[in-house]
Amino acid sequence: MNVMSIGIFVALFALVSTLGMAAARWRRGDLSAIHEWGLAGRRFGTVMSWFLIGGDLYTAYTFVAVPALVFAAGATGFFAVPYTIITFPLGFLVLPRLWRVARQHGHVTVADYIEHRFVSRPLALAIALTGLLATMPYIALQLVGIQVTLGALGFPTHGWLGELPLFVAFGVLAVYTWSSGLRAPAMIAVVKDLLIYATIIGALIVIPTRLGGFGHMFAALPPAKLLLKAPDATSLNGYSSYATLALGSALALLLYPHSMTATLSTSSDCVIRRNMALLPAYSLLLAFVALLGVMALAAGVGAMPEYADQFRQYGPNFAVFALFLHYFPSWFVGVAFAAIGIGALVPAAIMSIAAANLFTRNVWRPYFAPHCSAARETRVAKRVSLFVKFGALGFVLFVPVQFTIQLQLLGGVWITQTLPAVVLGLFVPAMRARSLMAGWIAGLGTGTWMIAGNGFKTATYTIHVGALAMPVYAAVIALLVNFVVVLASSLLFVKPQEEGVEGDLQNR
Amino acid sequence: MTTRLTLLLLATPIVAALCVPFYNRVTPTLDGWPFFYWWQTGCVLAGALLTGAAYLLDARAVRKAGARSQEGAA
Repeated sequence: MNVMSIGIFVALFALVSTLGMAAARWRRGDLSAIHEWGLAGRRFGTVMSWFLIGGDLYTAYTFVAVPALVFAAGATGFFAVPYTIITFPLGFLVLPRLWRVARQHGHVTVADYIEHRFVSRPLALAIALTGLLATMPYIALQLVGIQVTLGALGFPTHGWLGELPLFVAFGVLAVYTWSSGLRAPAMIAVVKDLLIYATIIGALIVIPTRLGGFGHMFAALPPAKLLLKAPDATSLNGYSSYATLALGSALALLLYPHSMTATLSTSSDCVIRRNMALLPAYSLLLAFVALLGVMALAAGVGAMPEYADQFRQYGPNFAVFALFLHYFPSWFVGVAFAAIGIGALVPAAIMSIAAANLFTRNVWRPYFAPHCSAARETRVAKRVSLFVKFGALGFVLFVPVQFTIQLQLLGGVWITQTLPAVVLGLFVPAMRARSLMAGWIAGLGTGTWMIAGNGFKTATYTIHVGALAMPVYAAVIALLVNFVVVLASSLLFVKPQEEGVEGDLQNR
Repeated sequence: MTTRLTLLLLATPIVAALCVPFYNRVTPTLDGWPFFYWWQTGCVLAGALLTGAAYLLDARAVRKAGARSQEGAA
């Protein structure tokens, strides 16, 4: 335990908590309307959206798990970089169009759009439930991120007293989300992102020099881990898994309810397009974050006796923390750990708001209270957001971390299966709910079956074509199955006179 | 207002990021960075520039279309 680090950590935490409460006053709106509480009145301009979306997509778990993966597996872990390269051009094509339709019809969630576009409540319910299931373990992982951070600061993380700091962090999160809605994570994201940039730039200036330059640093990677395993006569090895992991994760990222919520809260489709060109600043940061894994290897933190206990407890996830503890003075450690801790609060808040919006608009209202008032709807959403966070806390306290990680893995595969409904719905007039539903069922089934076949351990599934083995990200195979089913059932069942009815599809 | 040029600008970084056999190599290195690492990091920058160019093209096309429809209305 270091008083300096903890002091700075607590001070920064207090600062963002105050900011979160005060956010309710920022561009004040009627917070009893769901689009004000849950989308901040769709008022975010280019700069605010940049902080919000960046703070949302690059979660604390990213900052911990990406270097951990590089630390443990080498080049494979770098897939996070092509993944974010792919995300933004795709977002540029799809998201502005979605925003326009959603704005025109007042949709708050993606499932709102699905229900309106396909006039199908069951399909909207399917999309909403997929989003909810994929989001829950994701929120839990954010809390796991906070937990590791607290452990690294020296707080005990076992026993009743040990969970206390986590409860405090959780309580703060719950209160400001309740009172300020999406405005709170937006304001906090500004602080979070600045802290993260400062931390990573600091690490990049100091650590490689101490390690004797980048050449020395990379030399520390064992040759087998420096590059991907090249294909041989029997298998495509690292190539197919790397490319499909990057592609599949990029597709999943855009479809997660929290990215949709951040997208819909922007003030115009132009803001979205501009941000797709500006957000890669975070991807650059992510590349450097991944390098922290290489630095941790080169520094040999895994073999240092002072961190042995924590490595035993947290595994490779502790690599980045050990690196900072080893190289930096205690005040900088406080800043860096606060960046990661606050980095968990922003996405956790947005995710819980997104889940609350989905549940309220697409599960509760249509089936239980079809004529409820706007104010009641918002009250329910606030309660649900609280409930979702309790659920995540329960996950962290009572479920082994490994299980949460597996659920999150499965969540990524599931959320990808909503792609045909969302994207084809925007671009292909002839799409019908029943085909999309059939595809969704097929995709979800295939994906879950493949992951289960792996014993829920890894997301890549090996398919055999003749004598050649191809390890591929399960989400991508499931998506292909999904598309084939959608296409086949569209060709078989859509009558020609049904085509071309959707006015929303016109280009601008 | 997606033109063929915009599509090309947007597709380039995606292709560059996915052609694994091309960049899975150590040499040429750059300031000690193996090719695998600096190529992908460079792709992030290139992707940002190309998406930025797509945005500018797009914004110009939208402005033109807006001006034309106003003339039409007048």
